[in-house]
Amino acid sequence: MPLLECSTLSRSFGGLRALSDFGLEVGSGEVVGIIGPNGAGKTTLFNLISGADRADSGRVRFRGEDVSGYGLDRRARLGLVRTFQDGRCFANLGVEDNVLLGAHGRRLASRPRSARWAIELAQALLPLAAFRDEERRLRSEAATLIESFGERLAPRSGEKAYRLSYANRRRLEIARALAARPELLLLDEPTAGMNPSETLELLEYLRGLKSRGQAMLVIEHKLPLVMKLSDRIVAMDEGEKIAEGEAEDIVRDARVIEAYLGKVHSQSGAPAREGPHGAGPA
Amino acid sequence: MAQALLSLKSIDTFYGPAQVHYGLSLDVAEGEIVCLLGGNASGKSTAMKVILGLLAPRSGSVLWEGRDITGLPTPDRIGLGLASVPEGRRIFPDMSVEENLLMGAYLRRDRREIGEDAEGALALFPRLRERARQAGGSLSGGEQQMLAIARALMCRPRLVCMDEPTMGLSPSYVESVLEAVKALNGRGLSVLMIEQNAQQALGIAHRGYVLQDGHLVLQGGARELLEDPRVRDAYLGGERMEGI
Amino acid sequence: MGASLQLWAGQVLNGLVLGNVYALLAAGLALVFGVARLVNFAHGSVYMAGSFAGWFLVSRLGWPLWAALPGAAFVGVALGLLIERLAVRPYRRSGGIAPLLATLGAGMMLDSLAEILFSPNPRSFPAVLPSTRYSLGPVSIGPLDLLILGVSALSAIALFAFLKFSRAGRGLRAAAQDFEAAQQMGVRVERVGAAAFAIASGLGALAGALIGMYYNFISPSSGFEAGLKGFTACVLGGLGSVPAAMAGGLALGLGESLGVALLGSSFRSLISFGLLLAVLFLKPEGLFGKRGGGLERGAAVGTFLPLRGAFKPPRSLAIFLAIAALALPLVAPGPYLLQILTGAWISALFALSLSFVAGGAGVMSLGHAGLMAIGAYASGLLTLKAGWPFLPAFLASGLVAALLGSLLAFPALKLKGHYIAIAMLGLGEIVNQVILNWDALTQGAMGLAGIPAPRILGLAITSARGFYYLCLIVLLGGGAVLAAFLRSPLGRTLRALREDELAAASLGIGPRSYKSLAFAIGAFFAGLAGSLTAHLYTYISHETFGSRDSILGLTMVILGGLGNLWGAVLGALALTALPELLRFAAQGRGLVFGIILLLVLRFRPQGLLGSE
Repeated sequence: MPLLECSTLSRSFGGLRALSDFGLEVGSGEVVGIIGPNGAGKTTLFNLISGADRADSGRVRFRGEDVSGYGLDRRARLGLVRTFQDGRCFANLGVEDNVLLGAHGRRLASRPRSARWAIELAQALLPLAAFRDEERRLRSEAATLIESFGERLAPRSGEKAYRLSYANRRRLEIARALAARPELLLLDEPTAGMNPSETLELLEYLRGLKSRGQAMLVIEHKLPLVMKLSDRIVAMDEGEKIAEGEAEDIVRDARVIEAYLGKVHSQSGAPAREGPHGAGPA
Repeated sequence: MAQALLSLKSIDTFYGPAQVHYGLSLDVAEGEIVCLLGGNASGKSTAMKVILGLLAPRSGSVLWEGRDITGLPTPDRIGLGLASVPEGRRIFPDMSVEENLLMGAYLRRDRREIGEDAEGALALFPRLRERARQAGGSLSGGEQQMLAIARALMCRPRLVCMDEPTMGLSPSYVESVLEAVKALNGRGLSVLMIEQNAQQALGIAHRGYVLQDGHLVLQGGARELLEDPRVRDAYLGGERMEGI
Repeated sequence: MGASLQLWAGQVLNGLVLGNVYALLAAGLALVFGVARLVNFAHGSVYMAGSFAGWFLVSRLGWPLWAALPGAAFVGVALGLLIERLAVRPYRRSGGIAPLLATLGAGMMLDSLAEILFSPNPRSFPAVLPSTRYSLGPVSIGPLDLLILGVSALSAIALFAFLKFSRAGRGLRAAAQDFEAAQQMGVRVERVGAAAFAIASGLGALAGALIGMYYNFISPSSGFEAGLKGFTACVLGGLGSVPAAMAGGLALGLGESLGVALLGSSFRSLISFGLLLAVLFLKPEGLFGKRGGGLERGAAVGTFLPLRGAFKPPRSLAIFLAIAALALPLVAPGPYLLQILTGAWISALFALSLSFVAGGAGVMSLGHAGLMAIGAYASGLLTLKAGWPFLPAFLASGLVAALLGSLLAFPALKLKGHYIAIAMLGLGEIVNQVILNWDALTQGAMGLAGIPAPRILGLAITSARGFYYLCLIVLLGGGAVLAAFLRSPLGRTLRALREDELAAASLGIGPRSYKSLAFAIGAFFAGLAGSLTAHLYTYISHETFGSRDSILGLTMVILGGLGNLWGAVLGALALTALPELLRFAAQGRGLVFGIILLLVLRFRPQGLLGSE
């Protein structure tokens, strides 16, 4: 049974079709990359999968359960966690607090959900050993996650997030998402805004996650990165899937190249030039 | 060499902590069509905001006919002869085609001539004339693009900045738009066209610049760039990823 | 049969007349919202100013109506420009709800100014039109009705003509439809914003003058309710568009009048605000609006502050201050100081509760005083009517406020941006209206008198010293508990929710459920504050706790620092005890507090002690 199954997802805004009849599967431990030019519908897809938006039609199944009607928070509690394109850290909270919040769904206060108010109140007012132990355990797990980024985050673990550099904030966001121990991690342009060496570093980090079996769905523009990381790539354009397959094939696919670079201006009369493997012009 | 009509000199722009442009410089001379190309997140749309005065660069300057306009507010830049066709058209959805055209001439007061120019615009885009009273929001994407261009012309600009004019359009509309741009350029209008669709844009341009991750990586004549394989790499992320 | 038809016809006419005036009010709000994406909470006060201007011009200066009405409108225009320049433009950059709060402050100032100039008492508006009435079928119509209908119709036509055919009007509409594109056409958006405010306020002031004449009644405190009715009309029709808002105004006028015909005139406000909440909860885009009209994308409440390091007194200082406060009665020269501070302690408890909800969880509870009212009545009724002893009643008042409060607020918590602010304001008012109208339970307008003094362990508390200790101890206890909450994982969760609701949700934090919990906790303590007030005053009514207290509480909290518990106490002391001690005239206070709010929002938005 695939971990994530999207079928015939469609979403329109006003008259604009952002996503048409889209289908996607991600298996356990798989890393799938999503690529496509501006306006292809990648973020819309992520919003529909994560629950930030509701599809007009189609279904999303996660671990066999139909989650199409669930909101963002409910899907997160099931293990479907996402990061954001603009790196949304809790700016005025500390680094450690940020990561601790990632573990929200794993706290006693979240299980059972029906008693969460009572448990939250109790945890705040009663110094019970169970609560103390849980906090201690979560803090040490958070510390481990922070340390997994080496010298980047660990020395700054006592600072507020707004003081971190841009790249560090993105790392923090990933650490926070990992604290939730997600079954499937959705990464929205994780290296956007990072320079080449930071990008390389993060790529290594993500490969480490992959080798430990973390399933991921990654939107990225930097093709070499996506190629090195993904088991499979899905290419989108204008709300539709235009190609799917292994990295080397996708990058040579004529439709993909055309989507990025555009068709040759047909006024010149020349048809789109294609090589035997779908290579573009020149 | 004749002084450029519009110049950017060593522009550094930031969105909060993230740097978007690194020392960007470009020129548009009078009578030219210049393309600014690049993939996603290359910074090309932000360049337009800087030119129009919607976003202030942290360093560097914007020059119009040699004069520094970096601090000049947007309405004043329009008054100098700069017009814009924004990304996604941004026509006023609840206003009719005619009213949209009138908005293009907002800064002008000569009512009779505005009326004549509106007539001229509708003559240039016959499909718009048919829909003159229709609400802008009910037009198709291609028609909206025509309207956005016509609207930009209403202030009798010397230079028009177009942000992704062919995005989301069907092939026949893409044709029409590019032809219209060429025709307007033939009548003396200078154009800065920001495009993702490199092939199309370079087909009608004189010169081009290619941005990648906020850096200018290529520039030259349109014909040369069309043949250059590095353009494709810049889009699909080649050379800058050392070590990968 | 004929008589009741006349009655109904009369009510319909009344509804139409009122509806037209509401339409004027609503048009102004919709215009400002469309252009500036701002809900102008000073609008009601401008309405009130217009009513006084009209009255002044007619009865003091003897102007004829055809000059006095435009004169009132002109006063409105001037006020609108002033408000835009001083209370809106400087706060645009702060974003979030700063402009909203600033307009609230401006409204407070205007109301207070009116009280100073004209005394808080209502006045009558002398009749200047003949009182003959004409029969039109079953309807009896008078010159005043015709005047109002005529003036509103004329204004509406003028507004439409302006928007549709003039260059400036076109610029306004363009800016409302697409702000950035309008800028790129050369529209000077500041001028457009100012113009929108000017027109809106002119219409609002005109509405005030007309209604003042119609009901022969003007009062400095009429602004708040008028503003709320304006919001109701707007929300009913659909906030994005002027015509829709005007239609909403007509619908509101008719609905109100017909409701009054059915239920009685004391239900008028209850009907309006009930309609407001019904629309907000069921169809926020209004009868004629489209989904996603824009308010939902509005201000993210509570996140406009550059939260950088709250000042928290070290433990030793905290303990010292607590001991000093406890020891004060031993050295106080007389009961006066203690009485003032007792009031301050109750206000501080209220402020703590509000700071926790607004700062801790980011829920802008603008009707917070309603929770005090609930607690006060709960405690009062339980001790007075059901014979409960004090302590159980006291605790019950907190619980009742928590339960009832969160139940009422729950539907509002799913709203975003400005919608939730309006809903909370409306909820606060509804509580008072229900108290007023539910005679059987609350004794209605008579209020509850003779609430017994608190008895703890057999001792009755009646002296100044006794009350001082009671309120102080409750405050210290409440402060300690709330501080414990803020320190706990719950506090961390609430802070995350306030910082970035979307990101918090993406981690599994259910926004609505946690906001409700925070609200319930805050409501508990607000209820306790209400209970203390009830037993201190021994008399409460639907007028004891009102919007004025809610807004004052907000000012205290912002002054001290949103989310900072010590700041809340400091703010309460500053705005309650200090004015008393300095013998500050009661009437000038709104003015001073409004100025303080505006200054703090502009120059030190994190408050004196910093926000947490």
